[in-house]
Amino acid sequence: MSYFMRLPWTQMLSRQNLISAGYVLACAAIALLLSALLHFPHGPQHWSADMVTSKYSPARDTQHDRIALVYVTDATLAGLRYTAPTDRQLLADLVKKIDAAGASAIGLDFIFDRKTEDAKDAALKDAIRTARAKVVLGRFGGGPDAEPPDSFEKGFIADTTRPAGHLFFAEHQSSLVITDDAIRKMAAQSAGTSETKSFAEVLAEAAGTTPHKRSSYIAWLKEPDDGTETFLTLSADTVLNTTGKTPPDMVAKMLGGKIVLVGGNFFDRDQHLIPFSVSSHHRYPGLFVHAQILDQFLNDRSIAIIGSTGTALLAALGAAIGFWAGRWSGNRYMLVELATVATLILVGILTFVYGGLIFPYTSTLLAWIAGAAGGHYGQSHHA
Amino acid sequence: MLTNSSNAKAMGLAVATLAALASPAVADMTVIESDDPEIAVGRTYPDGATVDVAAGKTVKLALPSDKTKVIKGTGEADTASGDQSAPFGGTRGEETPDE
Repeated sequence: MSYFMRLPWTQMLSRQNLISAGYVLACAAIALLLSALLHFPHGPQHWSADMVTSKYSPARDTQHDRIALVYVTDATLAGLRYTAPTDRQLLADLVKKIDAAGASAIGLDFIFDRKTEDAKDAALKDAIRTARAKVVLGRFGGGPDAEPPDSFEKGFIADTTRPAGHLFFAEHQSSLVITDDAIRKMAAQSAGTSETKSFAEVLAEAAGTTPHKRSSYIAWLKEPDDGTETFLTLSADTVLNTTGKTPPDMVAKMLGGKIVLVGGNFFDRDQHLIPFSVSSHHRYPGLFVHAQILDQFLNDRSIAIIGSTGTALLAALGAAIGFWAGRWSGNRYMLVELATVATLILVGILTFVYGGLIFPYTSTLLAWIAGAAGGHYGQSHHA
Repeated sequence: MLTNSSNAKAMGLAVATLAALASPAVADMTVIESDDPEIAVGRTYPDGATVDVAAGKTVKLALPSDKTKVIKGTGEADTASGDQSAPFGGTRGEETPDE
């Protein structure tokens, strides 16, 4: 900066400096264009954001005290005649058991879009309708595609007299790049009836919280520091005591007063990559993602991204600083470059931890490198 | 089978010490899920005990504090993480334009 401040205006407006300024703006424009059209650098940007998310998301001291998960697993369904839709009598028994345990609310992450066996369908509707706890159903037709008004799902939900929320998540998609299928965002929701709200949002309302959604990005919660699971998690077999080995009163002690989310943990369905998968490639059940969103609403947490304008300004700033650094770094060019990388990493971590913001690290760095290269080699050329 | 130090490395035993999670009212940790044939569901351990899980196996404990904790056996046979075939279908993902 001092370099420019020492220059008279006539010199600043020299052809060389105008070319330099044009180069910097071109770097920023190209970075913005690539970002807008290709979401470039798609992979590295997601990787760096996911890495920061997985390492620096907040963690509780110990297990969540309000949310519990109950999974129906492949083992739970072993011996049943079919695995999809999930046996409605099994779900009815689970709802009754969890309700008897004293849960404050029950969320059912299942799709009720077709009939199964009349008696079992009726048993589940009855269990949901008569539960003491607040019950929220998952809804498939409330997502991006409109449903026929006379659908089975709509009638099923209406018969239970309970609210429902859509079960969709969102992932980045561009016509020019292949999506990585990772879930980082909540699906867009329509305003209005509860049917168009998300499952977690309706559950949060049932729990007495008004959800505030400041961005579509999910604010993740890491595993607690004491090594317990993020959310108390039981299998349906444990809850139903199918082995006969569940200690008496354990289910009531564990689930009493909690918001209990019930869903599937099956090998072939509803398993997702999330930012925590960045190192392990481990997939997480959709129910876990819903629980994360629910916690975000309950505790009013959020993370945000910098939009296109902010990204462009950062790219321009990065290119300008890079150009200046490249021009004046001389034989310390590589050292300056490494210091810049380290600085941007630190900025990315600090903005995430203290600002709840995902910093566009990679695009800023690329603009900086382009600017620095122009400054460095342009200087050599004119020397 | 799980405490032989000579084959501990080969078996990839996972060791978890859980003393910090004690509740003064209840003394035992209870196994509520297990695919380790040596650790049966319903088995109890004194609070703070060391639980050794065989490589590639997973055990879930109900702690005296009414919380749950998963202990994974680590080692060569561990397939709990790392490359995993992608399940097909039914991800319920919604495709949205880039922001």
